[in-house]
Amino acid sequence: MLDFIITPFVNILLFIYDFLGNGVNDFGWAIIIFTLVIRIALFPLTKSQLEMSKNMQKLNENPEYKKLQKKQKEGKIDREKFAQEQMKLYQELGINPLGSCLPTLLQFPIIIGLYWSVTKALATSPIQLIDLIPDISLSNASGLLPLNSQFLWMDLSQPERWYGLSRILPESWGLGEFGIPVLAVIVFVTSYFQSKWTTPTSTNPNDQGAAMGRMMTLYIPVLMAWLSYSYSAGLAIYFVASNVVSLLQYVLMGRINFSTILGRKETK
Amino acid sequence: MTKTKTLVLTIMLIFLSLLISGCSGSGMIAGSWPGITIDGDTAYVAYNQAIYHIDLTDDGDQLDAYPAEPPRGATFFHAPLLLDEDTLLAGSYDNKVYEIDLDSGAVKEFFNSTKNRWIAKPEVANGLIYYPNSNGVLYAVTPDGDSPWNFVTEAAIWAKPLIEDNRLYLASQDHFLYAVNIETGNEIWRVDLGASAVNSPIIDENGILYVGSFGSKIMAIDSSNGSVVWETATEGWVWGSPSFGPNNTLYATDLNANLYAIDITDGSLIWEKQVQAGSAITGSALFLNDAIYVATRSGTIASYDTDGDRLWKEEFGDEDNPIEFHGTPLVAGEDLILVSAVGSDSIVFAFNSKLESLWQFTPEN
Repeated sequence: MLDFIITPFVNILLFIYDFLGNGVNDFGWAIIIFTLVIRIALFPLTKSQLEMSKNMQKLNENPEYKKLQKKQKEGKIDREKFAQEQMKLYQELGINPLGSCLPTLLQFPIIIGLYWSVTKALATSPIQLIDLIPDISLSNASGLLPLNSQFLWMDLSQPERWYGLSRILPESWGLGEFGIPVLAVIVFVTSYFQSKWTTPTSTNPNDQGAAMGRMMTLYIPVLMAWLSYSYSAGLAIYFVASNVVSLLQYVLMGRINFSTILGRKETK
Repeated sequence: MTKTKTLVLTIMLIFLSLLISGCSGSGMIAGSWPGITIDGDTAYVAYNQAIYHIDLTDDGDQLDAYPAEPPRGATFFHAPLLLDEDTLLAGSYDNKVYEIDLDSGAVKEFFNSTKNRWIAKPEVANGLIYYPNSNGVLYAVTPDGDSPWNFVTEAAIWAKPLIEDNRLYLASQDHFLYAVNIETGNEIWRVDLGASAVNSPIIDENGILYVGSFGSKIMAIDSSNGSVVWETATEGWVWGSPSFGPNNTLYATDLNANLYAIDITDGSLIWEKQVQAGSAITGSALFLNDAIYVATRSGTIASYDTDGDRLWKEEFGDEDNPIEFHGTPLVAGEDLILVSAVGSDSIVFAFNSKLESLWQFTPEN
């Protein structure tokens, strides 16, 4: 479905991997570098999305809008009237209601394509490898495969587990080959803070969008952590890199207020 | 409008979940094609969560399915190994090797010392099982499941080892072909193939090994010292092992769906045929009754005479319902050819030597 994105992405990943020397750790770095490049390229869309969501937050804080919501709740106006009045407010405040969704939708195929290309390039089974081979257009492709999937302590083609604890602790503790999913935890933490610090807060109790946002703040990190726990570590590296880059972008845009992080003040 | 936004966000989340889990789920997409082990008039077919025992004499009827209670997460693809008449060994993509009792269907872990997939079929000799793993290690394993030694390469091993005269020849994806002492596990020599190899070498009576690689070539190597005798270029990457034909001929295939006849004495090309444009051949050519049989990824099975003229060709599947043939056509009995398939409910297609379709095996639920 997204082959027009995935195929070039696979080749760019392999090109970076080759450029780095196709040795130990290089595919991990290739994923990180490529994620960085993609996130920077998508920065205008990210910025636009944040500005639009900020505008929507302003709407929710607008006294007229609050009154309107109250009227609808109390049954003083019907849904049709509410929608008409709401649209007027949008026009007055210069808000495009789908403005915060559109940039996200545009980013979607690229982010999914990047995710998919990491999976494809790692090709850990015969069918996956046969699917990958025709898509590689680098002239030295046969010399590049198989990718060296070692990165730090992990095999990027396998779900990540850290077995250091079972090696340190006495055998009598019975931990055996107990592996700790370190990356899944890091993915959860970075996804959680990325969602939490970048989701606009609202003081409007009727703001369903804010309630949805709070729900997402928990759901998305759980989903990402579960995927990182279950699937190849290469994907988890992508998630971590992507989250960290996003956070850095928000910091540079002044969207993360460190006093908020320390719990002293709301995000503006 | 808030509700609209909520709806859009919900749909996006569901879409994201489906895309991500659907695209990457190792358990959701078949990792390989069915592996077939022929045992007289029956065959064991490993595919996904089960190993099917089928009757080759009676339209491929399913006799049984193993294990009786499949271990959670276990999926089987390589041709299972019949350890004895009551015991089957099957490596799984959940990183374990299972021992299956054919009488009771009971299953137990036989070997569990790695954290990577078992893709290659093992070989048995000298009272040991030689089992390659995707972690790049070949394990010598006793029938009790102990491992007296292992042999480490630098990348995944998907090729079955070849054992000949107390030596084991092993192609690894680390670009090397190794000769190993089967008693000690010590390396005798290694030769750089220039690219990964996922197929077993074959050896002739003069001790010359023949192996193909992703470097788009077939190489002849002297088994006594690992020196390269000749190498012949192919158009595409080579996935399947070469196979012997009559009159010093070697047949080879590639991922561009070409079939080659090569003179084993000097590596010169005798003839070359494209079996199916735009397709791929992932198995070896089968030489049977003066004909050469190959199966392609686009659902074509074809046969050629020794001059390279096509005898028969059959195609299965269509654009909407593609059927892929993979691996080497296998011969059972005198006139039965079995081909592994993915993409349809039927996972084994049976033909006679004229490529008339005899039956297809579809697992019973």
